[in-house]
Amino acid sequence: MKSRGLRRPEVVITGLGMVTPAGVGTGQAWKTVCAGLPTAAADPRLEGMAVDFSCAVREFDADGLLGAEARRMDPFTQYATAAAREAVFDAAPAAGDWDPARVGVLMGTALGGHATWQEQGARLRDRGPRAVNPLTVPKAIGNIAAANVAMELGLHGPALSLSTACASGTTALGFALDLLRAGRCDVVLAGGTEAGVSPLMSTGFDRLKALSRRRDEPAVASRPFDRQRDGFVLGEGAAVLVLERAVDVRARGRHAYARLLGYGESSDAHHLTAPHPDGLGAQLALRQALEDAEIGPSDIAFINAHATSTPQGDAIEARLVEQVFGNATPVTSVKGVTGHMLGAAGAVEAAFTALSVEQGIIPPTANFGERDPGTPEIDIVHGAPRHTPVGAAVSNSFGFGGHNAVVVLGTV
Amino acid sequence: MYVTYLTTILNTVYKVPGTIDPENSFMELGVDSLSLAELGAHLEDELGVTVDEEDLSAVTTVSGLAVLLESRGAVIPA
Repeated sequence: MKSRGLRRPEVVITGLGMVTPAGVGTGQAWKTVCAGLPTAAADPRLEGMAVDFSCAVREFDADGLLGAEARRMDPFTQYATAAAREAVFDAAPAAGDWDPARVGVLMGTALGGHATWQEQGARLRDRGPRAVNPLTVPKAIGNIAAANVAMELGLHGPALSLSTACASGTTALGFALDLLRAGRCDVVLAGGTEAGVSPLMSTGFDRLKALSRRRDEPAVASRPFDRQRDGFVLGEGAAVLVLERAVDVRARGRHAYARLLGYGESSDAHHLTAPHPDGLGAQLALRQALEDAEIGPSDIAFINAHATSTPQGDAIEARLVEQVFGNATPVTSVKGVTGHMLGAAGAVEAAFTALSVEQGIIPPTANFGERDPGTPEIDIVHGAPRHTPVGAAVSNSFGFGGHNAVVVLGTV
Repeated sequence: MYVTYLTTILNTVYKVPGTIDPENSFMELGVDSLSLAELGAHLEDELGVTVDEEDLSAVTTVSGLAVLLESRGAVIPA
């Protein structure tokens, strides 16, 4: 490992907040994921589409959670704001612990407020300019989830959105780590949010042949690494992680779930949608992340895979895992439960990885039944959660455009 | 009728708390300019009348707006 001249501040995760198809609230979501219960089901919003099922957020009471402001928020902002509130409540800073000017917000999103653009675009086309909601622009612009989190919580540090498609949530964590290491912030709320379940997104992804078409049995449609996988299932939601310098957290005697040890990010520079066939960019990001964390592949006890349940993507990731780690390190993709939450996926998966590290529990890959004979024999956790110490873990995220982002987490 | 219609949506959609005095202006009710723009669009949408910016300002009262809606022949949905 390359030695570093400067001692960098350690960064820990002190709060988690989630709005997911597996549950609203971290406790419920983690329970569902550990039980390996798939959430894909017919979705009335997608009625009449070729793919009419999704992993939807259920029982999310926007008005109850967010009050009058909920009306002014696209769902991608509602999810982010609810998750951020939970994360801060969980981190439980005492009054005066945080200087609001030194707290940043980094929110990953692939689509921004795309439902609002669509809905208002249709009103303009069908009924003319006076039918367009005056709040269209401030509801839908891509930065507005981060801005709303800052407004809701009174945070005055940098607040911005990052977009690396389906890697966005992980990218946000990486840049948050940089902000903390550079001393630009004392605390960063980092996460990802997406409200991508819509007729247009379902159709758009289906036209790319990216989605599973198991309309008759949606519950088994998202089946990462399984031989019979046929595409991903659209999911939605948000996760927010509170990142702070370990020295501050220890001084105050507060709890942390895990350390954020390192981060890697790369670009395939190869193709609009397909990953590099040899996983070159992904391998680069993974190796950078390990180097940044100053640990080796043998120190990693768990790989939280990106694996979305597409034939090509999962196979490339399985080969990548074998190349870098061999085939003895346990691997899970939680997307068998949650579906693919697009720009939120990396944040949700990093949050679950933090819980794996803290509790020594690796959730199973839902719907994994039979290994794909075309892929290496890696250790895919399935059937039941595995109880084993997880000293350090990686969480992978890859996105359209060839974005690769990897974070490394470790025990406190 | 128009006053009741307005106070109901102010309570439910715009979350103005408590009993609304129709002689209060929107400023007094804490409805900001962004919400007023939304309210105007909302009324046009639901009642099929035109509500211009000058019809709906911070000093407009709920009863004043009710009179205007009535004069424009707004039809309150059942």
